[in-house]
Amino acid sequence: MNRKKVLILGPGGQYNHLIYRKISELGHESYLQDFNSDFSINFDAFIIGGGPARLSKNSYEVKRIKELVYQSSKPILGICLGFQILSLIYGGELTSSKPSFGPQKIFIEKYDALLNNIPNSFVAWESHNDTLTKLPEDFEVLAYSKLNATKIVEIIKHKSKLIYGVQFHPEVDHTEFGKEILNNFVNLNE
Amino acid sequence: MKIYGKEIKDYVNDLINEIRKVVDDKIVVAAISGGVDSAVASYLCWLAIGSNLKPVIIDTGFMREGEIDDTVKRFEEIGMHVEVIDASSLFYEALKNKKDAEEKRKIFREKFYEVLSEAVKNYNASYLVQGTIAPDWIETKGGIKTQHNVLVQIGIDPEKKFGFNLIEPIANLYKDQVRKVAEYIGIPKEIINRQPFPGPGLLIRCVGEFELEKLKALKNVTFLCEKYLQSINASQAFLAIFKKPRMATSNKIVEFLKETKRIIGIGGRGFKTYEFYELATGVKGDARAYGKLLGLYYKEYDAFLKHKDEIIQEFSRILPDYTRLLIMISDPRPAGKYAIALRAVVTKDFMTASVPDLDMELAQKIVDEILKDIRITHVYYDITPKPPATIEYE
Repeated sequence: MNRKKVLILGPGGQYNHLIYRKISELGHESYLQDFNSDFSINFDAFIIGGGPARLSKNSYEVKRIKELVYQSSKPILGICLGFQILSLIYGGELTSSKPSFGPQKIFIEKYDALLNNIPNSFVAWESHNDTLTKLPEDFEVLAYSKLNATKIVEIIKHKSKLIYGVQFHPEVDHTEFGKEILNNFVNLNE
Repeated sequence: MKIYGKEIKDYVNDLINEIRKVVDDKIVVAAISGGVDSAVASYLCWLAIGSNLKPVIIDTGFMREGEIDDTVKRFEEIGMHVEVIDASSLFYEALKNKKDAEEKRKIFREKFYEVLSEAVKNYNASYLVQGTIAPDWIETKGGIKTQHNVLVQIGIDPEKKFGFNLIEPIANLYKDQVRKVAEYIGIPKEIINRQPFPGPGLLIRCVGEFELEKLKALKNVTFLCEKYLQSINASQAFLAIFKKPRMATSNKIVEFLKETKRIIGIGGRGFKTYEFYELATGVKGDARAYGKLLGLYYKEYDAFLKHKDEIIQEFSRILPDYTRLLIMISDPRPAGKYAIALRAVVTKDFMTASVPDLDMELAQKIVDEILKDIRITHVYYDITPKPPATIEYE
């Protein structure tokens, strides 16, 4: 295994320090940095963590990550708010009428390197007030959850770049196969 | 065994050397609570500087029956003499009739450090060591709730405000990591395996307005149920006390009840809903949520428990102003002025928490014990995970 240098940008969420913990435990060099401070793009992979912000396409968080997305060709993973930031950069849309907190069943729609050795359904933990209703351009859905008969997007992937987003929290202990998903992500370029 | 990718032996040695370097020949006061976090933080200092460490425990009046004596005994076993500081009347006086969760926590923090800074002065000490761990500063910084042992991380300078500097050797660790370090350095297993107990203790389990009678009733039922609480298959199980809630309904509650009946596959009558007078702390989308509590009654309540995950998702969606859903596990009786909630969670790191299934026989025993106290009228089981709830109510 190659030891990777991973930068985690934390926009103020409760679980960003856990991302740092999980990436270190996977044997990688893990750096957790405050979202507002300047960061170098000299890393092997980037993770944008969660936070309390309620976003629109002109939000500060969206502009800030837009620069990173355009400057780096390294793998980028958005988690929770990070997922929403990436979605908005590429023209996705959010609604506040479908929040989700706690356990949620996830169903895989399409397998990808990110989901290596993950079963086609598993329980993940969530904590989001806003929910994606319009898929960003050039992205495809890898997994979803169900709200009655409606499908809620849970994992997305850019069709030609190594940019991924997950709405749930793979870093928390209660999410099944969370550590495997993070491990798959960090090893995408192998 | 590794901590953040480092061998535990090296991790611990680095901590001890760091403490030695910082403290030099100065005196350090240790704030002991009886829990594993403060035990590990103090014992690391003990290993680093020996008798220049002065351990104290504050009797806040919010500890459980016998807790202070037990703690002092445990520390004697590992060679540390702990001084008991009785400050209960100071805490009671300052907190009497306070209602708001954050106000209660902040007053508690203020008094806590006032008492400690006296101790620091008396010992002519320069430092205070405390067992702050990662969830403490993450939740305080994120504005979810004010933990009593977090100052520096939110910009309070303890030197200026209280006259000492802080040492927090395990501030980067989570509970499961702390327990590993505890085992490695030889903390007694009674301390390691003890269920976490919050710094402000039973104060924040007297939800809403703090009154002495409420605290006495809670201490009594906690004492009566202690052995049953220990046998629930949970990382933490405890009781909290509320004013007796009122029966209430609204269009939204009716909509939620309809969804709940659909999920459990039982229609018809016999369902009752109760609204609590107090608010409880939650965490939704990384933000603090100080919301209402809903009580739900149906005679065969295990139907709710079987489908709790689905019910909670609908609960959060339809009733966004609420942070807790409690299932009544007793029959409502008219006498009595208080309600008790049984809270049990399963978690390793206390960052997320699930609610375990409840053994019906055990639940009945707990209800019977609680109802021996004639001040109690309802008993509930809280089925809200973290998120959207937090583990404690305030």
